[in-house]
Amino acid sequence: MPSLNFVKSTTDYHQQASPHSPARRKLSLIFFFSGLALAIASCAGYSINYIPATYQFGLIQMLSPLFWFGFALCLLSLLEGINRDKEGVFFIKALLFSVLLWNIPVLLLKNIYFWDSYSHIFEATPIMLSGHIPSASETLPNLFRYYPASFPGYHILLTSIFSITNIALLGFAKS
Amino acid sequence: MFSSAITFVAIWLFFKTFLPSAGYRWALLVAILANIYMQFHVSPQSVGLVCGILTLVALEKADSRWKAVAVLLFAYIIISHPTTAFIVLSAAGLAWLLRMLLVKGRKILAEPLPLLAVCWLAWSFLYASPFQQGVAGLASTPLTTPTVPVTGIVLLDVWIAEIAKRLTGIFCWAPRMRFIVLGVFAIGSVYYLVRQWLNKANRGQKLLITYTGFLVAPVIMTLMDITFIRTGQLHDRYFLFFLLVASILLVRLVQESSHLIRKNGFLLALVFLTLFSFTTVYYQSSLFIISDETVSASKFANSNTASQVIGGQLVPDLADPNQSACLRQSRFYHLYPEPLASFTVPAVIVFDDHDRLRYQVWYGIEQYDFYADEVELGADFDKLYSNRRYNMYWFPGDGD
Repeated sequence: MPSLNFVKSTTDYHQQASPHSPARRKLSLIFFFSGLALAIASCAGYSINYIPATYQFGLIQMLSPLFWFGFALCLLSLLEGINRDKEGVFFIKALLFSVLLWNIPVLLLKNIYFWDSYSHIFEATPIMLSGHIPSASETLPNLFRYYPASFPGYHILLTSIFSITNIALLGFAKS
Repeated sequence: MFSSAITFVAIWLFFKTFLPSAGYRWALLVAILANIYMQFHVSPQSVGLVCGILTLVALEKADSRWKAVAVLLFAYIIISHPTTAFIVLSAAGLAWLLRMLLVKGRKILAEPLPLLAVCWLAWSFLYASPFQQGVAGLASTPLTTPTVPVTGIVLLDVWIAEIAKRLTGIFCWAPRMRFIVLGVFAIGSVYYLVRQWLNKANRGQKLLITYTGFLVAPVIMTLMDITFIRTGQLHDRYFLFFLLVASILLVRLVQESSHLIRKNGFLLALVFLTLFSFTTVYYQSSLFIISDETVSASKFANSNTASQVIGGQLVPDLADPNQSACLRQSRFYHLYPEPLASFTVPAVIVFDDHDRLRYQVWYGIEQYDFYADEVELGADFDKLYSNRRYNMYWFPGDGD
């Protein structure tokens, strides 16, 4: 039975990464960034306002074939370079790939994706107005007391961002 | 977008720390595609996720400055997202206890885990809100109203009987696909850990102990949440954390193969499997989306300040928060089975098709239909507002 040889594994980490030839590296990057551009461009015309409940996979089902083509190019480039890319290159590719996947709602939807975002901004408004976390004795509606008191650190952070930057609340939540 | 970028950086550090080999890249890719439970919208849990992962990373580093960072991050999580604090403390705490029992080095005693536990307990006992105390299992009263099921939609991914009951005709494939992926990850992870523990040479390995703590603690806590604490809030965090750790263990399991082609084949198969998982990531989006109709209906309800609001999913008025209908709103599950006719104050009754779907999936469709039928059959309800998805009715109350 194999043993957990972490020292060897750490050494392998430096030895296994066999560098690309420059031409191959360039091709891999062209694949990746073309895929990324295609995927983002494929979402350009979307402003989705409603998702039918009959869509078994929700938002994913509304993506165009062009998105999936771009997605496939990115994934193939990542897989091709997974043992060869330099650390910085792999990091950038994986970062951009993740941000693409995790922001599909931002690219496709007309309004904020999740009503929860509205709620949490809303719950921070009494702190913005009064300058402090509401105490239990204050005569405020339950929503204004319960959530800021349950997540005080988060609401202080949110209020600080809003107060310092004066950013538009809905724009902040959407992006 | 910013939240997803910093979450990625945190996860990248997590994998580099807990899988110190070239395999971390595979595990990272698997986790990006497989982990459908991460959230990036403006919420305490998205900030909690980043800080929670970074706390575990900082605790693992030998440098005392990292330990100080871990304490500061954990202090922030305690006051920001108690659910994350609970899982971080339970996972790191179990790993620390196991190391104490099995490795017995003096350095282990000097780690800041007891300090984190004291901070968490002190906050939970002395300052925490009822919600936070509930998460800590210290609440004297139940957190949720009796009619709201404590089994959130995430649990439906593993509760096959409930899938058949609640999701038939709505979501057929996605929860079942998630169930299969979670099953493969669970079986693979447990198999890997058992194999390693059976090898006596491995039993003092710090990382093996850490993996065990990280994998076992979330399972125990999930079971505790379902059976004793009953917040209905915790399990999605545990699923999320489990998939992060299981990604590492599965890649380690595959990498044990000495046959290069077989190993790469298995790794590609794993990525292929996680692609299926990824296609389910937004399957519930029809439950959560905010449409133009939601915004219009909310504006109408917000402006109608003289009445209570019952039912519906509305968004608040951020320009004038005190006008928001949410502050005067009761949901059907708050009232059920009390009929609307027993209300003594004027009320606006809101029905919308997304909300109906949420009741079907989440709270129980009989509650929604109970009030829809009452309004349809009753004579006291006048239609006040209508758009493609929302219908609002005016009920004058007994006093009128």
